[in-house]
Amino acid sequence: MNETIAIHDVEVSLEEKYLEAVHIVEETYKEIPEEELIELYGLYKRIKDGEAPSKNPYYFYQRKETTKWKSWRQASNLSKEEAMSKYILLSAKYKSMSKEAIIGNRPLGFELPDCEDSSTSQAPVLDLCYFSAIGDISSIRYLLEKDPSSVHLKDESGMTPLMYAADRGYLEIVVVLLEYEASVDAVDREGQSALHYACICEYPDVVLQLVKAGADIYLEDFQGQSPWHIASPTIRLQLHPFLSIHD
Amino acid sequence: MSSPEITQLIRQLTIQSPDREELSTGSIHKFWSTQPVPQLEEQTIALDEGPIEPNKDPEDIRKQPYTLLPQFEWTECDIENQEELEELYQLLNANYVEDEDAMFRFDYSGSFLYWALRAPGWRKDWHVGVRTVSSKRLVAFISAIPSMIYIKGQQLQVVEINFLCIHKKLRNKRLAPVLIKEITRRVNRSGIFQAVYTAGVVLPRPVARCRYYHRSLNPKKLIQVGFSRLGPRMTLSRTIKLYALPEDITIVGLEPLSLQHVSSARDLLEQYLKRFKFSISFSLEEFSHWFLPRKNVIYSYILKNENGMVTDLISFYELPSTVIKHEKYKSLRAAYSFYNVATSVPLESLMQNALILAKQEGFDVFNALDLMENETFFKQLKFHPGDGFLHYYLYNWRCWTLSPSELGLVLL
Repeated sequence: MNETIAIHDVEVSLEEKYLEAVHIVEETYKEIPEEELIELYGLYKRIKDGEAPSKNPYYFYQRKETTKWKSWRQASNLSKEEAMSKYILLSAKYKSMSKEAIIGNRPLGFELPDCEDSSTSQAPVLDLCYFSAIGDISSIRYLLEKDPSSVHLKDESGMTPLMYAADRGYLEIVVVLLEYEASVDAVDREGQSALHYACICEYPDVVLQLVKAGADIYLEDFQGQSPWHIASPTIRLQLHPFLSIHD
Repeated sequence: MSSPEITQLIRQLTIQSPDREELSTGSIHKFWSTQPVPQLEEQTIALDEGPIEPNKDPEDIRKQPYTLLPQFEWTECDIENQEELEELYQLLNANYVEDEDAMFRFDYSGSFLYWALRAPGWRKDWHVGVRTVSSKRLVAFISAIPSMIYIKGQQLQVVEINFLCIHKKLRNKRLAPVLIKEITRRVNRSGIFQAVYTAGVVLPRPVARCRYYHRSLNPKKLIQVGFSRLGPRMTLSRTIKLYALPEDITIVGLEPLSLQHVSSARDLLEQYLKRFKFSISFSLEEFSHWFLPRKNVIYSYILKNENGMVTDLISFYELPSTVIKHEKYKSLRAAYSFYNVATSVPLESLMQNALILAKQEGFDVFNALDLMENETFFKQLKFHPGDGFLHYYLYNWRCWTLSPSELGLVLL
């Protein structure tokens, strides 16, 4: 939770209060009513990304995304500092709920581990993995310039930024991460590499990029499956020139 | 994979067609208060179930069509005429769906409409259209087809009302009430006084409230076209594995329904539907029409025993949507669960095979309502509840509210 993205060019004390407020919201977001969360989101986007596009970039049925954009749009009327102040103000009432209060509410006995699906509802950790997953290339560049070694970050499931980018099929991000010497054969806790991800999700362009960067086509995961093994016929066509001769 | 997005879309496309929305608001509630339907505020407990208005002698029903505003005229849509079918297809395609900012649009195929509107006993004068006098352009439509239902053990001849659609630019001309009154008049003239219909909105007054459930078959495409969204710590790879299905069916002997088995399959379904309080009843002719496979319209499969008797039935219909302005995908294909009966295998296993078959046919998502016994397999087969509801209505018939699992009736 400490990899929060820094906000530059803002008066320090306000920024620190803001970062603290972001933490409060991350910890207590389950207690915060939907409308307030959306307002907080709009302010957060305004602070992080500047002004919202003037036209709704989402489809009409993406109600949630549209609502979020509206909130961002509204917050765009504020200056960055004003947005931060408002964010701090809004989050203040949840301060008392953070940490101790939540832990206190847990029932006795063992806690079930989070199942994989529930990861969708976690408050986001705003690190390189996160920005690779959402395809935010400018934040990725910013973080990498600040700390090139963060390209080797692994999250709690052992996944690297490169794996997230390969999973989503973001070729441009894959290229940037490889420029920063991301390890192509790093594996997650299931033994899968970025190439496994690109093969399962069938992105021929990403597969090609990874293989050119030296990704191992035969790297077996913990179930004994290699990228070649799981590749569809289309993907195998891409891989073909890179197969070693004894196949 | 989050399903609310999918649900919202499905709801907007299938049910919340704007003209039906119009029917639920303001002055339109006045219209419903003049109709033989139970009012929303009515007490359910003391009511007598049955017709609200007594049947009349068809000869006493008004013989002249209702009057339209002078710029409009009635028409009968001849869907056996390719050009008129195309005209209806275009009307529905452009207007059955609200399309402000729309990226998806319903794509009822002509062959689907031809199937849905030519049920046995269909009549051309029940495919009611409205044209402009000046340009003869088709601007509104409503349809009825005859149907036999069982409600609490009582057999009832009804019509199914569907495809009520009014051109977007004519929404405030109060055409919907006239269309409803006109189709009612025509149906009454034939001696039928009850109707069934469905809507996403709440009108006076639902017999039952069902919910849509969705099962993703092609998660990558659903995400890429913006139908569905991945959380930042979820991976597409995991999502694909989560929704992966066996490539081939797992039940030996499943085969497409063919003419030689319709009689046995019909008996199986008829027997099964009797257990529901509100259900449809298909004659052999109707069953053949609704269930014999038609490419891109209706898919039916059966399992039979050693004596050649049908023991299990799967069926789903196809209702695609056009994906507008997407460079890669032009269409999204949704399969809708129709009627399924399992007697020799567990229902869950039968439905898993329905998913496999739908996947093989190239569908992207499989939808089902929580009626009949569907709720029993949703969780295991990874269906996700939507937040959209589909309300079932009966016209001129008072009935206590039923739960979805008491329904054995799917309207297109």
